[in-house]
Amino acid sequence: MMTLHNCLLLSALLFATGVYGVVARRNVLIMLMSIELMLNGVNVAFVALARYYPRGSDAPAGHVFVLLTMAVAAAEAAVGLAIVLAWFRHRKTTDTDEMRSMRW
Amino acid sequence: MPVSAHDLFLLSPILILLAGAALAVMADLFTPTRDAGLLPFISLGSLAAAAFVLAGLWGRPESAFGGALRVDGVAVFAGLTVVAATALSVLMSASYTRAAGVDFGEYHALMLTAGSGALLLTQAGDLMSAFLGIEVLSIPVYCLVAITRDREKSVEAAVKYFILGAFATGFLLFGVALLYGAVISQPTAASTSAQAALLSLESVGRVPFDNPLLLAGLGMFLIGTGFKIGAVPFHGWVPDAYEGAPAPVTGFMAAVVKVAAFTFLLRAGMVAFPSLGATWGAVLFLIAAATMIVGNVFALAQTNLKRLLAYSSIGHTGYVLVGVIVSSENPSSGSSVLFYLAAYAVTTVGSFGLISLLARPGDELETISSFSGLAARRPGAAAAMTLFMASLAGIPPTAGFMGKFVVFREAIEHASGPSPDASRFLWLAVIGIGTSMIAAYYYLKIVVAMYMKPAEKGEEHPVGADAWGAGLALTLTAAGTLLLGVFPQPVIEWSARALAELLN
Repeated sequence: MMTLHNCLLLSALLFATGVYGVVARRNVLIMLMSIELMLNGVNVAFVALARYYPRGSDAPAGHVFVLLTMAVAAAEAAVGLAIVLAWFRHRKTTDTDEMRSMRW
Repeated sequence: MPVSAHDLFLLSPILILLAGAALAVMADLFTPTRDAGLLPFISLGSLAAAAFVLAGLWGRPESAFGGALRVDGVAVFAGLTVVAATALSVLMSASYTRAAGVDFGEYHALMLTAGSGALLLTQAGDLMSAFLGIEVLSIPVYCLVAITRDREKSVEAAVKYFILGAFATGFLLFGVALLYGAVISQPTAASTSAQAALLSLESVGRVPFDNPLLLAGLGMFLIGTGFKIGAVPFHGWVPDAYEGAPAPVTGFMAAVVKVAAFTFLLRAGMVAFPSLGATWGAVLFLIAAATMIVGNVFALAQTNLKRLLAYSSIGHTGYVLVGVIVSSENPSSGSSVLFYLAAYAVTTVGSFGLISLLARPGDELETISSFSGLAARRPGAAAAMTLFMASLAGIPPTAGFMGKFVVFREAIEHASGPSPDASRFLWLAVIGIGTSMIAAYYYLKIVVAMYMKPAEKGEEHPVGADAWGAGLALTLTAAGTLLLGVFPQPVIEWSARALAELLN
């Protein structure tokens, strides 16, 4: 059942789960994990498209893009965790509802 | 695909900035008495070298790495704007970072790395280098926002900016994946089998505009870039990030991030999405109109100067979007966008530089009332601030006036064009001019405070003994703001030549 259609469906599902997590959850760490889920959904789409169309194997741009995405996701996670840690030192929480030092 | 020495030469402005970043960290490690006074010179030196190489590439459009980089006039024009804005931010930072205790080598390394990402984004000829450029630009800026980590505001701003920025990256990337799918499923879209060609902007441009993958991908791509440029309704992070970040970093974000992102949007709109107006034209119209209105109306109620300027920058995003929309259907109008970006970059770096000059350790003078009576104590600073506010409001003879003039002139000229949607351009120009008039009120409020209100008690503005860098940068930005307003012709001609190279 590994059709392109199913793979893209899985990719969209992973991405949507990630979006839901970022929008609905109030814990910064869970939001970070949800963002990783979004990026992994994108990776599934890239691999599926590159694998399904014959021209994708001739020119592995899609596969290379996945490697690039993983490197960027790692860099983002490192920076994100450091920033969250710096914030935790001020507030002793990871709840985004506690972000109140600036208001419009 | 072999990499030639010439490719590396074309890449060298980016490599020089990265080498400068490495050197700044090393210098910080190995100088015995942490003499931080050396660091700005390392940054400025590498920026000057990068500018020199970039200027040498003017007038010779070339592409490197199989089309992944396009070093054409647009890239050089926007690249020089980026380098100049980075250099001015470095100058502004010197005394501020010392007072705040963050004059590390890392500060300079982060700024130079972000600058290199911005250069990459202005040169991006395919979606992969564009994505890489956006990330190399964004990730250091997340760190820079949080660099004064003892201030809770700074860190909180960084968390908000980071979460929304990474969220936007997800959308952008999903859009790129769908665009890749659109190209790869079209037998004719990519003419060669070269690896980069599958993701190049030209290949995307050859996909028929009713391809569902292209439509969905373009939509996701617009959401992602909408977040990055701070367009309504994706602008939620802008006020917090601009208010919380250290003032020199805010100036850097407002100038460099916007110039680079809009340059790429301009290039993508012309090369990859010639169907933009036909497919998403109505949505773009609404986004631009809402961005101009929301930015300027919300700015009216602000008492915090940095937050006010943040909303003002949202408004300016809307004005540039007008230029981008007009030029996606009338390519020759793109030069007005380039000019506007240069004018806005000079002015905004100057105004945030002034805020950082007046900052005290751990406390930024950022409410409008703290600027009361500034003219009596610091006449030079007050005059410069008046000039910047006039430019942001679009009052002649300043850079901001000429920028608005060229953008709205293009919109009105093409409103009677052949395209059935051309009447939208007239509406955009009308909304733009109307919101500029509203904007004049809140910019003048600051000028009134400086010249006509007595100072509040305890609001003495100390003059930093080592603030020569900020003084120099302020002089340069004030001169630039005035020159671009009085003698705009050479720069307008350069921007037109730059665009001609992209179109050929």
